[in-house]
Amino acid sequence: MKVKVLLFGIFSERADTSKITVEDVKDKNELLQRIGMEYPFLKKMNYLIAVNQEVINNNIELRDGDEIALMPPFAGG
Amino acid sequence: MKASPPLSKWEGATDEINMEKEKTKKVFIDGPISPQFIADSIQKHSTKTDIGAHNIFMGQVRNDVIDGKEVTAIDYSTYNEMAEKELHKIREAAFEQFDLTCMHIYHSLGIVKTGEISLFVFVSSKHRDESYKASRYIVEYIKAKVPIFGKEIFEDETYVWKKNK
Repeated sequence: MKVKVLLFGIFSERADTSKITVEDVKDKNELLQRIGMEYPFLKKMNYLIAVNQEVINNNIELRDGDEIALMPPFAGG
Repeated sequence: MKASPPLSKWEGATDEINMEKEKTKKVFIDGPISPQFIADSIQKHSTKTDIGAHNIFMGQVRNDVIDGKEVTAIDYSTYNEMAEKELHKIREAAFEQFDLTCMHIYHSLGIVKTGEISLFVFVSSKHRDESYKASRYIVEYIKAKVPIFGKEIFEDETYVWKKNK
């Protein structure tokens, strides 16, 4: 299974990419752990996580094809 | 992260007046929202003679000073698919809570300079009470929930990423 992770704003800039593919990941917590290892700057920053365009606060299982977004604080309006 | 393509401002504009609750409405505009666009929006509503009140909110880019440097522009970007979903929720919630005739939301993408408009919220109702309340509700909801990101750009072309309070 694989999931797509989209990065926005400062995250995309620091990671030098706006999209990552992650394979064989069980749930949100595991995903964050793996991404945190690859991009340690994330551990020190505030972000919101959306799975399939819905903000998720608790841990949830991930499925093949899910789209996850790591979003820095919003600046709209 | 792809930028939204430039939108033709008048595409479906007449339809917008007739179908207040259509599923997907054009929200993002490339660059600043011009005063002319706002004036034209007002004009277009003059045929809806059951409206007694309009309330218009405009967010303008402000020359904030950060660490001694003055902001000259904001460069806006968005998570498009999620923004559209959230904006749809905002519309549904506002129509449910307030007795509105019409509602329009527009937000800029790309560069908007200080003094230019980046957000335009336009609500109409039979009586003014609803429009005052709905406008505030919608603006606060947008700022809290819609995934729009912004780089505050300074005169020397350096920048910081903006965070809503």
